[in-house]
Amino acid sequence: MIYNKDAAFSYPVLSDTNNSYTDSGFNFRVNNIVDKTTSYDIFFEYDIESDFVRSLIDNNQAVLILIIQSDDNSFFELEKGQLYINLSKSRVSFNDKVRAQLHIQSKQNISFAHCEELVSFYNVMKSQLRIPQYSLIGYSNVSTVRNTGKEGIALFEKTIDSKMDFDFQIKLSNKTIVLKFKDERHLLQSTARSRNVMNIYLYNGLERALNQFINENIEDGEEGFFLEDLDDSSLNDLHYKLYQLLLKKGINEISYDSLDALVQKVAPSIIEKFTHSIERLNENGN
Amino acid sequence: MSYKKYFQFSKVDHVEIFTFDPSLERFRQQMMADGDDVEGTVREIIQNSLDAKIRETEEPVKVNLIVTEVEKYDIPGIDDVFDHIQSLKPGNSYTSETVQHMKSKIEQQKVVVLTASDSNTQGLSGARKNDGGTYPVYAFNKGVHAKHKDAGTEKTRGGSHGVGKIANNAASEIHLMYFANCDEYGNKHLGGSVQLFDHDMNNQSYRGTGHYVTLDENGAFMPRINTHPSNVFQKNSRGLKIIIPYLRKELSKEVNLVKAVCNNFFVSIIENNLEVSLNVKGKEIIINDRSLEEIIHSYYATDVPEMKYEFLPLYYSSYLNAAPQNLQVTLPKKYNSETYNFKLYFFDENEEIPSGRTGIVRSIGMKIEDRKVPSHVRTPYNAVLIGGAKEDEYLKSLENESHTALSNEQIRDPEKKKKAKHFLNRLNKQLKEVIEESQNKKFEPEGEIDTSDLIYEMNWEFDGQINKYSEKVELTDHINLEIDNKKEKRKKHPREESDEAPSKEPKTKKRRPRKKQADPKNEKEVSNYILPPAIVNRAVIEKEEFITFRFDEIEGAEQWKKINLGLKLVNGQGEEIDDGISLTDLYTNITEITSGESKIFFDEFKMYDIPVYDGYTLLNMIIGPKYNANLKFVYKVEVVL
Repeated sequence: MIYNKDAAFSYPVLSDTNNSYTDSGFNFRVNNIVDKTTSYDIFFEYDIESDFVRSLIDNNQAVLILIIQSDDNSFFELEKGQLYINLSKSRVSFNDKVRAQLHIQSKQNISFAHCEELVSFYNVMKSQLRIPQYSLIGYSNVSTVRNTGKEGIALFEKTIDSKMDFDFQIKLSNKTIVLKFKDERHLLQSTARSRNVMNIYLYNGLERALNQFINENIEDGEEGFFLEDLDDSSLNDLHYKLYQLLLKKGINEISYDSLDALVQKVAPSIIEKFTHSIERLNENGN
Repeated sequence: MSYKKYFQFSKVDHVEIFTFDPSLERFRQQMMADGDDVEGTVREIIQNSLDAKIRETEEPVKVNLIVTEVEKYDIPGIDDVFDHIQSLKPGNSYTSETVQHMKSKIEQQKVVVLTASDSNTQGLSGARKNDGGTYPVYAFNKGVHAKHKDAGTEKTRGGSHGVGKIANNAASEIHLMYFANCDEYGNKHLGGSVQLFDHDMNNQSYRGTGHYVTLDENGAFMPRINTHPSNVFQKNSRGLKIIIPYLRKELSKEVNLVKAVCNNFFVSIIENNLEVSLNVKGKEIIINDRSLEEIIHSYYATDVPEMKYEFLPLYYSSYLNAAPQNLQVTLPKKYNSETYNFKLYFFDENEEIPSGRTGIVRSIGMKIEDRKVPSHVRTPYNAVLIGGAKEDEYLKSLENESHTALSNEQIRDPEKKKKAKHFLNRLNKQLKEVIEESQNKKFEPEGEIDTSDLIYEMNWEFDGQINKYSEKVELTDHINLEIDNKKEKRKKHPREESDEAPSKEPKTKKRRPRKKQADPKNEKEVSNYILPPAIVNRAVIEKEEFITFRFDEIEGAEQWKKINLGLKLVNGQGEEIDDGISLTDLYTNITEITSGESKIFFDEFKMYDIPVYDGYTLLNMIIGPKYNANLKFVYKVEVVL
């Protein structure tokens, strides 16, 4: 349960609104959500401003528990240094505000004898101050997250050029992926009346663009690179859009080997929607 | 003998018809075909209520549907009904099956009933004098309804075939229905009918329809005054109540009723012309303009690809969100190029819509048809089409018997039939044009490709503010005061440089306690506060508890010299529990120790006259047997002046 009532505990508690520790606080913030089709990766950061409490966690005397409150409450015992959790979409809905909070819970009896950060009131008695297992040692502020909608990223253009030598060609401009067709028929639009039958062309276009993106950013002799190492100011518009999309999808490592995976992370339902549009065409034909 | 009976059947010389009224049959067949029994009956009931709206009122028509149980002996004249049912000699095997089923109900003592009553409606008139009001028409004639005096209302109202009443009979397993009426003068009558077929009973031949009436001295039907003791059969405010006993199972299901109401009357509901309250065996559901969205969310598919057979969620959003466009249907010259003007609410910006339908809605807000436009049955679009009074009148003539589709098949006049065909063809053509024009726009051969369904970023709003417990505090003068109980000295953290970093304030402001209303009964003048817990520190060492209060951190508390103190328990969910605890259970002894040892007097509720030195108090308690170190408290303080 999210705890957000300030009350006087019978022992020192670390929180932003409690003053048993001097100069201390416990800040927490969810800072990114990555949509992984059937689940979300929820990234967060926190800061425990107490050496004593941090050392309890480091020494396995206390544990961090992440609480996510959507329709249900979900609890996650965090590993040391863990900064994201994966949560199934069935357990959380971001249409409404989702609230999250970190708790620190004792895993054994804790003595405050060696805590040097308590307010003076505790100093005379801290050698005798003990709390049992499963006590709440600290609680963070509550961080909220809300999904405010989707924003389409425009990557593609199409043109018809009857003078082309071939029926179909992919051109990469600085800003977009251009699909060139010799005949409007090849777009299949008047046949299927669905954009999604074009997904085969889009797949190829995305692959071509990602390939170029890798080509221009990989060091000689390397098999891949990390997005975080890129100088994003040197990227053209198209590459910058891809770079941003990949980052938002929680991807960091880029290589030629992962091209298919990258395409399908950028456009997760590209194949499914293509299949669906063909199935539908077939049903209509009947 | 017959004048003593409750149900009157017309006497005939000999019996000729050995099957049920064909419209009962059609009704049932259509119900079977649609897979739900419910829609026809619910449509009929609500449509009649909307038609009967009192024109002077701005209030929505309120229809109250209740599914409940009555005892068999509470149903007026039920023994008469079964006497006649027992005499039925069916003419074919299908009818025989139905009659068998009816007979099987004789022994049943608990009977499920649907009642439908309305308010803000007129009720039937003329019951008392039997002089041409609507009551006799409703009560004694099958297949007609009274024409409204106001011609405009007549055009827009719903019924056209008079199957209506039969829909109510069809909803009963023994084709039985009652209606309780209260007219504008407060006259209350109870009528009813049972739809059987010709039969012989006690050497007398009867027609199939039995009416719940009394007879006057000349043997004419007279409405019965309603003296029924059971609430189910009473109607005490102006309007009409339909009572259908032996309700078919499908009709008693909550989800079927909810959907029947929403599917057919969403426009009336959105426009606040109708409010339906459903009570199914005790569970109450109100369907109105405020609750409709939530109801759609909980009773219907929520994912667009799943809306293959359920069009309502899409109609709802099309009607609410699409800008209406004009759609005109013009008949050929030989019909004087007559035109019909509709408003079309058209939406096609979701490729996942599995079935393309146009909901055709009459201006009273009742849907007539989920129209399939040829060659666009699977085109991803959704639309709602609504006309005015003239369009309503014409559409009414095109409706099939159960008001669920437009067609020219039931029209007998060959010329009108032809005209209807032209109209429907042209309507389809117009709709087709709108659909195709919009689709073509989406599929321009050149330009940007819209991939927003495929390649997109989710936008998130993150808020990591430190809890600011800005609990609003009511002071005695009703000015709200915000408690500022933030942490004071705080190390700057590098992350705070970002825009959304938690904001922290330096230690300049003093805390302000929640001030509580003073107790007028108390003789001493006291001010009553709830203390911000951040000025309190507690520690429990074996059998002793220590508490400090830093009143010097509270604005205006520097002057406090003496206080009374009480406490409230806070549970694990952070809720304050009132009166949950008695001080005498928690502590056996309390002393203030800054000043040497002053023993503090306390009772169940308070510790009294605690001294404060330079804004500081330190208490030492000896713990009682009921004390638990996990308890969390907030403190109430009374300042003794």
